[in-house]
Amino acid sequence: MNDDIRFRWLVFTAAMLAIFTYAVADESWIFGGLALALAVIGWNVTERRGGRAVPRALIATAIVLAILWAIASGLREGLNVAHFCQFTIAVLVIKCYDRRTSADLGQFVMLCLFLSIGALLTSNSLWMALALIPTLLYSVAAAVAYQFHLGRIAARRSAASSPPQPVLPTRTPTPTLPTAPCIRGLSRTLALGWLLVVAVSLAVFILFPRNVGADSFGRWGNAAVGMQTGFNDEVQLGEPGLISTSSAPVLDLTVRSTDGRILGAPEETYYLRGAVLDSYRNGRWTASDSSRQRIHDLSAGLDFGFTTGRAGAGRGQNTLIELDVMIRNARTEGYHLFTVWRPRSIEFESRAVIRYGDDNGIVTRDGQSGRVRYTVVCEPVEAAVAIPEGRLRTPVSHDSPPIAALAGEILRGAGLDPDPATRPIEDDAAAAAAIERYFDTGFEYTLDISSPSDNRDPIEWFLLEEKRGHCEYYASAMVALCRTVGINSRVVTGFVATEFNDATRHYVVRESNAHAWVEVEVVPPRPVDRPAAVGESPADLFHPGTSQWQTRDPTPSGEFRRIHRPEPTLASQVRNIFEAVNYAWITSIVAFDDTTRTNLVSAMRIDTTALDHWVEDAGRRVRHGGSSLVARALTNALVAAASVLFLGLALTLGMPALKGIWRSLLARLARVRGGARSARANQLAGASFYTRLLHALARKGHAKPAWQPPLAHARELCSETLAPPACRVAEAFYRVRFGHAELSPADHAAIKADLAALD
Amino acid sequence: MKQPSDIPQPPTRRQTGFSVAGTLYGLTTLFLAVGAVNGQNNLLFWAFGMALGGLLVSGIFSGSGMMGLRLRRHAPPAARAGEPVTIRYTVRNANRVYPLFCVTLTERLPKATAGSTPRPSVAFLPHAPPRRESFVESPATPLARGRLDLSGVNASSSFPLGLMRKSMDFDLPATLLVLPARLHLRDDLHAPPARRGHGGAASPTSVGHSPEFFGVREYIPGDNPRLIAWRASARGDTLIVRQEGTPPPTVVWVLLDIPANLTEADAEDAEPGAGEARADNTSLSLVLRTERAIALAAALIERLTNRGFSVGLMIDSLGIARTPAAGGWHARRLLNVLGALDLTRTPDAKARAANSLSRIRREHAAMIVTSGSDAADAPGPTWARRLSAVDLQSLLAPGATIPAVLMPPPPPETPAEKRRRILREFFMVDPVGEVAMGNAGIELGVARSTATADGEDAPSNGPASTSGRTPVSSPARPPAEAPR
Repeated sequence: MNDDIRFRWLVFTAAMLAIFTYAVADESWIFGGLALALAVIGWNVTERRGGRAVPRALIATAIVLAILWAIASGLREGLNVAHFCQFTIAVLVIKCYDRRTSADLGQFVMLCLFLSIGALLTSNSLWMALALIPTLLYSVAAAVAYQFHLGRIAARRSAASSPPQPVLPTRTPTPTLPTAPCIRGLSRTLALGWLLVVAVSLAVFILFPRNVGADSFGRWGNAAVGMQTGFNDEVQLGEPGLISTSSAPVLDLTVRSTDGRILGAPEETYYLRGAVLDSYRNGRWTASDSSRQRIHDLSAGLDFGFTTGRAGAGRGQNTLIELDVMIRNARTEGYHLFTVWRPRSIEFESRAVIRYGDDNGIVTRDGQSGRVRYTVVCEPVEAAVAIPEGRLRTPVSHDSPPIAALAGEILRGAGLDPDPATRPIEDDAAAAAAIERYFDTGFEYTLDISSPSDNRDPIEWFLLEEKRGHCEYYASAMVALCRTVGINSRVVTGFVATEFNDATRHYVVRESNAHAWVEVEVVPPRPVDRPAAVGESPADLFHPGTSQWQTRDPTPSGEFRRIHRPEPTLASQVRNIFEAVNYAWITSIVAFDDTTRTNLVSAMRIDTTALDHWVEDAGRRVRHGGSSLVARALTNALVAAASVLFLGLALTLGMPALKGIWRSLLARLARVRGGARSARANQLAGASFYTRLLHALARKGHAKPAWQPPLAHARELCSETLAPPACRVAEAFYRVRFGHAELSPADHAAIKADLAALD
Repeated sequence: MKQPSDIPQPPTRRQTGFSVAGTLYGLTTLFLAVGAVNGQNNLLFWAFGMALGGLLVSGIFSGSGMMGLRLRRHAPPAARAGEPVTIRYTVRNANRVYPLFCVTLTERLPKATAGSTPRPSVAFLPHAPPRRESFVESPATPLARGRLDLSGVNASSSFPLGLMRKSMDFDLPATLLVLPARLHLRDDLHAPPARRGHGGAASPTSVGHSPEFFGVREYIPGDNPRLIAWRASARGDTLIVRQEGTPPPTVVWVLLDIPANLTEADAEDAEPGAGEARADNTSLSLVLRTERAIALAAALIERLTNRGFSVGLMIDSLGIARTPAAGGWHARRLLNVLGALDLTRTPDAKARAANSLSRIRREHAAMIVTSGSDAADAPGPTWARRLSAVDLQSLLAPGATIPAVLMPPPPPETPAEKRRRILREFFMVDPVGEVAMGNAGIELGVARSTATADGEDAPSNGPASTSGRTPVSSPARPPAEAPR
């Protein structure tokens, strides 16, 4: 397999991995499988020897159809990442059937990278991350190999323009495969490059401040970590079908005490309320409009939390717990958040608009889709609240004589008065308990239910005939029974947290943990803190004028355990191990927040204060500046560009003049130096008599040793005829050489005479 | 070709620029940053960091590696029009640590000679280890006779990700003399016989084995008895043998009858039918006929020289005359003269006025090659054999064709042909891009690295000296690219 073929298969593998990664991220297995199959077929058909591409007309038609589909989807559902990625996959598949040149292969690589980014924007799950790693490796390898491919193609085209004649006998043969040193060098270089890239990405990941600039450019960028919940805020009874039992996790719950101690146990269950449905009509439960809602806009400022106004309400002190909830994939608008009754305060990690119902404690959110994390402080046992004076019970009713008769029968069987007018309000709790116990026998739990006959009320049908159903039927039936005997009650839908992971100390809530239960409003049967006074009725032993919502689950406990707390199996244990790894991935990487960052940075003793302030300031300016800031930035950029251009032009035009000026300066400097030197050189040239002196002494047999100064040598001459003239000439030489003196003509004449005397 | 230096030269200019992919990459990085900040998506922060790291790595590896690039061009021994010539480069990586990858070497052709090759010669060096020299070759085909001035080489690389392209210009001025295109002439195409056996020379000049008498000497035991000159021997006391000489070569003049200046003559001889009629009844241009005549003259010179003739060259219109001589070196000299002919400049009037035809003696043979349509009209000795470049095809050996460089350019595509081609490409099934070429496994212009020590030159001839690698046979013809 030569380099070209190897490169093409590298590109194809990167493309297939990118499609697979997106399919994992989006969990669109059918679409991904189909795309992979088509791409593999197309590539193999066109890549084999003699392979032929599909006619261009068909390719062009397919491309046009893909574009039209993308436009139509965008107009129908709005632009989103899924459309872009699906369009990209369609283009990739179509290109597998088209002829491919170097440019097409480069486009493959680019589309792979775009698809990888699309996968990142779609999901942050562990599976996606694991699939993304080989995708990135292959994509980058393909991008690097593409550079080699381009070079080979350019050389090949240049050679193809030449006739293929053997040229010269001395032409050396060239290898067709990369040499081992090349591969080694390339591997080392790429490894070093990857190290550098990972180091930079790690630095950016850790040092970049969080919670700055979120939602500044709209609600996008956040990704889900799992599937979106199938949670519905309405209950429709009477429709046949099978309720989903998917074990895909939808949220993670960590329960702590207020002092930070992690709570929870495998046998401990938490009811996470999503929706409260208190209005029943024609087999459908919906939320009534009577609940007051308060809107908290957390899109501005830095405070992402609010209190529900329940702090300290009621008598006595309740133990508070803290729930750390992470929903893996929330919708953008009107998404129900899950809390335990009753929430006291909620703290979010990102901006959103929150709607909180004072009466029913329901929390809905408008914000970014994808992963959502929040912390709720709750009182798991609601403190009693005062009810308006003169109202003992909240008036409720359920128009169904058969159900009322059945309720009366149940209460009478429990020794309670079914008539709300005469029954003491303190007996409501016992009555509700009796109704709850009624379903423990004679009823069967099933997720697959048929529908009642026409016009038959589903609750009546369930209670009186079918006696088989799922949690929604049980909850609906209990509420109906309670209401017929004057007990205020409501259906609550949400999730139950039952699966406690000992390794990670948190609850994994799955799609199959969706549940419906009941809340009943009763007088709390707590004893007063003083003995009964004379004349007080037993009712006074309770807290008069208070009520409390209690959670009741009519689903038979055995069935509840079977559904939500099954016996551990090997598969479930393996799954727990994976869940632990997945949870570690989510908490350490995906949910890496500002607190974790601050702790990590502090542990590494890195001061990011300046960076944080700068980013925060930049984000604030962007938020407040808006379009004017962008316009100002563009103007500044244009001015800067024009200035650089003008400076460049000025330099270009003025450079010759500058060069001329510089050259003239240099020439002048050289002249000055040369003139000074030439004067000095002339001076030294005038001392040539010294050479004649040396020659004369040498002729006389008194050559000067190299180590001896001339005047000293002259003075040591023994001859009386040689020493004086030699000394005079040496002294004259000293004056010129070291004294920079100018000899006069008389001096020259005297020197000449002395030299003649020496000769 | 003259080369100014034997040492790999440093670059004279450096440029760095973002490619289209690099610009897109930058925009994508910005998008990742905005997305990460906006959505607080931690994996997008990772991705943004990786994108930044990729930019950093691209800048470091592409820039640092290229800083140590040194280049030297080697002269090919010869070049003929229409025949590929291998241009060889020595690439030295002066870096201590950084290897070089994906370096593309492109000859920078000056504008004046831009038309002489269809595209610049490109060589590709996949890898150059640090402190080593590598060798890379690139074939180039000069398409016109004359002096091809090479100004320098551009070396560029976009390794590793193609985000930035760093290029360097090396000023390596050189001149390549392109000789006339090679023609394969008929075997019976040779010089007319010399007049009456003289051959143009008086007597043999060296001992040989022809019947020509060279001299006598004393008999040496072992000499062929048939060479004994009995009469001369009888006159004396010793046996004398006759020495045979090498017949002196026949002198042949090749006279080239071409216009002195094509610019003026082209205007005079632009009428249809002035040259060889083609199938579409258009005429060959004077330029093309002149080049054919030059090529024909060159082929004759080579043929005659190979057959032992003394060949001289005369171009009367340009005042060029070269004394006949034998031997391959003389043939090369004459080919150089033909290759260096510059017909775009008006020749010296004094040279034109010189009457060179008088140098042709009656005992010399002559062959006149003319660019005119009628060879009979060409000036020259009456006994000379006349050949016209217009009849070139008839002068070639059976099966030989006129080289493409001496053929007129194909006519431009008519609108109807263009429409048919587009429709054919659009609706018909075409081969897949470059898969055909890839499957053929052709690798040309790919470098090899030597295993020599730092600074030592690898042997310039022979197979690759790297141990453990098997030399590959000469590459086959690469199939043509599929039409886009």
